[in-house]
Amino acid sequence: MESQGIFSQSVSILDKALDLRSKKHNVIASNIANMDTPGYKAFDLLVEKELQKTAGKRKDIFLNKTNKAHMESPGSKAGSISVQVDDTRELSLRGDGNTVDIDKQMANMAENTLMYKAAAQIIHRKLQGLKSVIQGGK
Amino acid sequence: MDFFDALHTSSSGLNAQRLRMNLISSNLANIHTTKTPKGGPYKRKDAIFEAKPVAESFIDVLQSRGTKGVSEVKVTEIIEDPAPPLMKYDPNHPDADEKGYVAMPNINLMEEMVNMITAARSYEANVAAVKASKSMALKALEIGK
Repeated sequence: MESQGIFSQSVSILDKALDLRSKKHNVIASNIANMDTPGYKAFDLLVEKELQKTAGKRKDIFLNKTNKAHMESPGSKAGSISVQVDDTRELSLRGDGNTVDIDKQMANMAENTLMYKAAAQIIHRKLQGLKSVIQGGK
Repeated sequence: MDFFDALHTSSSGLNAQRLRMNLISSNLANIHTTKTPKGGPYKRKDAIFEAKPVAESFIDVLQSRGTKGVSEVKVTEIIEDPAPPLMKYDPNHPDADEKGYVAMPNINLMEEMVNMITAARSYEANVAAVKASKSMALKALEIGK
């Protein structure tokens, strides 16, 4: 299937990256909202690690193709994403058992937002490029 | 819907912090209040927060468990400070007892001011999270435009 080459793998990887980044954003928003909740444990989602996991899986998991017209499986879907308790925190002076470090969360959020926007921008450029080719550079 | 989850989570945080701010304002405004509908001096109020996991799929709701890592804030209770009132000697006050002492609310101004700053900063952090959610969602809408 030659047309597969149009989107190559980059769009599906970026798509996965967007999905993971938005999940991570949810986790960070939850940490920030609960910064004053006693006993709340901060969570983290390691996007790079999750992306590597799916990159490895890409070859192991596939849909059965019983007909030539069937599409390629786009790799494993989000579902087995592991969100873990953020235990990298050092000494805390808080006595309420809350482990949210607000500076770290804000920095993570800024980084995550930028990376999300970057991925969205790259997909956008890719599609724009394709559009330009389809229109014959007009 | 991912972004709406983030927005709902942040809005629960905003809501909780605003409620806390209302209670702090009430505590500051009533720092000298000696009469209340219940009788006796005003008692300092505080909100109790609880993390409430957000359920994402039907099976999560069914098994009453949430998506791991995402929780909203819920105000479970508004408590009254059980500390005894401060007794102030003021024989001319209409609420003074036979010895001339008036029961005043046990509110520490410094403590309330510090809590107020914390609530304001927490609110700001949640606003920043809402802004980030919004800008990400808008960026995603630009794909293919």
